[in-house]
Amino acid sequence: MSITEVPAVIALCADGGLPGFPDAHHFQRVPWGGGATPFSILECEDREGLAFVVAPPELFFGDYLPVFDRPTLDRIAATNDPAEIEVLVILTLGETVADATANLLGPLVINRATGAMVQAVLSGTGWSARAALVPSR
Amino acid sequence: MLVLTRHANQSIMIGHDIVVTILEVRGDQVRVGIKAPRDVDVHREEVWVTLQQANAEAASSNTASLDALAGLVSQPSADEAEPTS
Repeated sequence: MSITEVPAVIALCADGGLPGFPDAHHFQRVPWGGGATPFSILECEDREGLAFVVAPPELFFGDYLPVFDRPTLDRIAATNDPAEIEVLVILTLGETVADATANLLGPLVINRATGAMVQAVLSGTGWSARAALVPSR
Repeated sequence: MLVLTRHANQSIMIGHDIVVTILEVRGDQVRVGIKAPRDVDVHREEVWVTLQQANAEAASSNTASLDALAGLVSQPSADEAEPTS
């Protein structure tokens, strides 16, 4: 992944909030490490102190290719075209690298052009909400 | 909780815009159809609860290990010469 593709701080908007955070609508996406890493922090403007660490799923999960249903895509006025949508997954970090997990059951889907965002709900797909980033050996 | 009893092909109105229809009853499974406006999310409850919990855990993440994680995915290209500094 080219470092020059990492966006500067950008504004994202989840009209419907996120599961558990119905009032969290406006987020600023801040690259971690000033763009030197593929991670970003989504900082919520509506609720002080609320932030999520996010990453592109393909970094850790090469076979993760979710296809989103019409209601999900309608939320952000997009189609399943990768040129139109960006998928990020929310990370839960623990004390060590080995504890980190990604939420593959509820990825964030973003309309690249407008910044509209929704957390998809991939019921029945078997993807875990807590998938380990570092496979245990 | 409001409790209503319906047969297959009967419906329930929620507010002005949401219609829940019992499509089919087969054994211990019920097929339910939901018509709702675009801005109303409709999901299986247990999956929604799972996401609520996962989001809550993620929201209280400590970024202390994030740089170490970044170190895992950085891949210096073998073709590039090491920069001298």
